Amino acid sequence: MKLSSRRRSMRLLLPAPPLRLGLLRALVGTFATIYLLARLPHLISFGDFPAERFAPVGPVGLLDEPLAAGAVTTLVLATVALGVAFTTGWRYRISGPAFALLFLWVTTYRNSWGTVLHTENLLALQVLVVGFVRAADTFSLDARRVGEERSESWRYGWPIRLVTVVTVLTYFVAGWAKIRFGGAEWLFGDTLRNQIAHDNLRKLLLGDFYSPFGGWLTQFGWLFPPMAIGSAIIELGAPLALTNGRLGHWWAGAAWSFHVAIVAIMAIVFAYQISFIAFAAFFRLEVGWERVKGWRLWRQRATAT
Amino acid sequence: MPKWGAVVVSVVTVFLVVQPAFRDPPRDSYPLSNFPMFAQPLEATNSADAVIGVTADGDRRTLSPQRIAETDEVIQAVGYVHNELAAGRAGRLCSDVAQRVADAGPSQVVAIQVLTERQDAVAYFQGARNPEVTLHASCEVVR
Repeated sequence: MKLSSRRRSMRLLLPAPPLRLGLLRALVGTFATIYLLARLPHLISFGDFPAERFAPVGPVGLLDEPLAAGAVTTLVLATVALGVAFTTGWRYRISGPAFALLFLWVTTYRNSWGTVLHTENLLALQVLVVGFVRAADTFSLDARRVGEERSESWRYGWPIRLVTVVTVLTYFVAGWAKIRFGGAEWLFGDTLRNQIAHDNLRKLLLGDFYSPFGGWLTQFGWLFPPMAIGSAIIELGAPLALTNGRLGHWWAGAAWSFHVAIVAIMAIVFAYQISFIAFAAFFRLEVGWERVKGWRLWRQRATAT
Repeated sequence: MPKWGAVVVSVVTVFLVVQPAFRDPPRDSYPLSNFPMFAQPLEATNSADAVIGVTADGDRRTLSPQRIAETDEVIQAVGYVHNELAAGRAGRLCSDVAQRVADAGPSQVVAIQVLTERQDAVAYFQGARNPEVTLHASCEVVR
């Protein structure tokens, strides 16, 4: 790769077409809104939790005591409504930041009852980045109302770049934690095998879904050091995905495969990552969109003739 | 936003996302986390807390996270049971779960046990099922 090309790949303020950011907003918003709808009873249920179990984290730390049940329900429903506005790009100057902040609040509130989960962090961070930028200048209801054509600009490129940076950093931090806490034993020893066996057994004892495949696999001790090294390469090597577009595509595929393996071995579903939308910012979405449009046009013509 | 603004926002964002990794002592939070899941060293033989139902025949029945901790998240139920045991509230946990089982089933369950099972998880999946059980609390389901 030429140095100039690599430098170009590394640039933060690289220009991008507005459609790419608009499509990213629509994808992230669609996932976040469907996710909220799917988890609606769960999110609302925290209104009835006993106050003594309240252990606020992040921005919910502003509260001394839990919210009233009515307030919890209202906030969750408002977040869903704003999610629709975010996804369709309606009144985005208000709906974008409002949805990003409310989504952060609602998911933080759910994590504020004694156990912090880690399945929504990346989604919340990506929604925050996309919610505060001009992501509805095209492919949105706002753009349809204004009817103004926007051209390629760094204003549309840097938020996409920032989403990719945040994405790889979350993986890097996760990889670093394994080295920091587990050391060489995590890479070359039995830690991963024991973690997988223990997690599956714990779920089995609680009558939850677990992975019989993962449990069966733990008898082959020699498998786990290569698996641990592979996951460390994906996590600690994630920042390399920023250096080259093609490397970014490969890394996104590898990270997705990593999550598929986690489902198979531990029955833990990182739904956002599995959907692949978490990695959408690594791709030229507008090219895919034009292909879809072209294919639809071709089908319409074929049907007409 | 001017270009310098975008750069400042980006630098601040990078700092915020990375800083939990280097905090001492480490602290997990949301949405900024040090993502400590499955990072800690763990022996094959380990303890798992559980709240189980017992039928009239003495058979063991697993209970849903909803019955155990009023949540559908198993990880939150695990955390709740762990925190209650650490706080020395096994008896109260047992009677709370018994009340929920009395109200909403399963109807075959006549007693609740709060316990910790210690066993070799790797060996368990190869058929060696001989847990060392510590019973913290036991209570009847009164209907």
